[in-house]
Amino acid sequence: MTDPSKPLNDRQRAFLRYKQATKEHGRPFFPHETFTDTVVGVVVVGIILTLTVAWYSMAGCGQLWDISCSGDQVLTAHEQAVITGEIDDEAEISKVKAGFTERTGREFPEDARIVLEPLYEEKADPATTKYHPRPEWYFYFLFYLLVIFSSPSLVLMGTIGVPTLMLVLLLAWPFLDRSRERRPSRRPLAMTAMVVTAVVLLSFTWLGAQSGKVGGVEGLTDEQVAMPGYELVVNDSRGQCLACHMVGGAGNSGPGPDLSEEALLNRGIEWQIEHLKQPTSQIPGSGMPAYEGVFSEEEIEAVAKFLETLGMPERATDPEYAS
Amino acid sequence: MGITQQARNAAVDVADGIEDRTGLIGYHRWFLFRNVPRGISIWHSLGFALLVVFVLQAITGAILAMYYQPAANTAYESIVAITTQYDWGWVVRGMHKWGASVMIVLLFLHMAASFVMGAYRYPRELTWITGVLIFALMMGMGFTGYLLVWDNRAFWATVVGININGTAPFLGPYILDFLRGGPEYTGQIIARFYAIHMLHIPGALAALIGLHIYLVTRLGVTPAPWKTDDPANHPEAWS
Repeated sequence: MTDPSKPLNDRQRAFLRYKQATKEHGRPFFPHETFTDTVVGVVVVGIILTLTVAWYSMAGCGQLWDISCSGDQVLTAHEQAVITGEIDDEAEISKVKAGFTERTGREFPEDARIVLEPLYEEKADPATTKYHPRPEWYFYFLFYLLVIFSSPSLVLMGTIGVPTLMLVLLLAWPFLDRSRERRPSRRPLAMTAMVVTAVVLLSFTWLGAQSGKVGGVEGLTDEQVAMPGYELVVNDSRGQCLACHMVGGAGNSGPGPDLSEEALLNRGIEWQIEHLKQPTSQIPGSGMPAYEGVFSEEEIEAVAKFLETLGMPERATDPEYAS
Repeated sequence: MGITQQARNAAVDVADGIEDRTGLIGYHRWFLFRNVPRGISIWHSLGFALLVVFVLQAITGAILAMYYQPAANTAYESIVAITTQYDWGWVVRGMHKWGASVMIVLLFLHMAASFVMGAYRYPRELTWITGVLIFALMMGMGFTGYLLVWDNRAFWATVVGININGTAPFLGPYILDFLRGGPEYTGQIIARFYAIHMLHIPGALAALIGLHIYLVTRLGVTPAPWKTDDPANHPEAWS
């Protein structure tokens, strides 16, 4: 109290009663509660150590709880990619396995499983744009927001709007919910809000983690598949378009929108070209990277023309698109 | 006077000397020798568990910093060397990596427990606000630390993350340039993220955690409201 002569209000009196009751009837923090805290701390450190050993043994040595490998014996990023299934080309797999045996003098661990995560993936290469955006698991819920708000007019809502609103709401919560009642059974609104938030966070984290591997593209005509843009969109490692978009049932359902009926949006080739070069020039708030400098001018035009046939396959025979 | 008594007197003299000059022993007593309500449970230990993990992250981070080389052509190689070449390097890196994940889980649990117990009510509003800020900064630590491994996955996830930040109204373009350290995505981004991850956010975090602990000690711990036999939970305090 800055002014001792001012009478206490109800909340201040209640807090004084709490202080008095804690002083008279409470338990000493030291050593009672510090002991409980220490036990919890040791358990938590134990969990972290266990995760570390499981991670290194599986991804590094190829066998759960085996931590005996080091130096050249540790699986490389490329070898770990074979185990995770990231590399699925048979010839490449055989080459990697033979290389492992030659380097280490051991058989490739055929039954290895990487349940947690690889030690690392291939070195980042900003120039060649091998694009595979996977955030750390605790950002999956934000990642999934991009899927939900993938419509161009709503992108800004998913990227900035909702996360900012959530943070402001959390900060302001003590001033929004000012009753003195603390029993959960008598705070139905607050408890419902919490349970809904928890369910949404958990399910978004789960759904964000589910954006799986690229399968076969279906529903395209032979003329569409023959277009130069098809290879660039579906198979080109610089583009990795299907890491974020779906085309004909293949690819990931986010963070970018499904492109299977892109032509029906009537955006036109020029719009597509400008968008590919600099996405934010056409869709403010877009998280998509710019492809100018990644693809050549001709390649960008080819991708734009291919996109403008999706949902309108008859265009693939039209010289304006096919050339 | 026996040798035990002499040693005890000497220790008291040293303690008095320290107290006289710093007042630290008084603070130490204020922090340690206090009562907490009877109605507390294991859920109240989550805050301490978070402090333990934060210290663990600081220690492992300081060790990693001695071997990590924050530049485009050395970062990835130094991470590989830390993991495969140096003795116990994988333990230090692994505990730092998994410590971050465990910390995020604990943060969510700690916030949920505080929310359920109504621990944000008068006079603990600031304790809650500092906690939310700590949470936001921890997410920032996760975002900046993820890139430092400098593999493709981390790099491209960060590109998307930074592009998203760049779409913020008004400040977006400035945030974009600030985070990537220039108009393009180059190796400069590692130095930028390394500084943010090593200095800027941890500095702010340490200050906020200190304030948070001070407030918790000063205002006391909120007892679980369902422990009705705790006198600190007197019904008059609720209605």
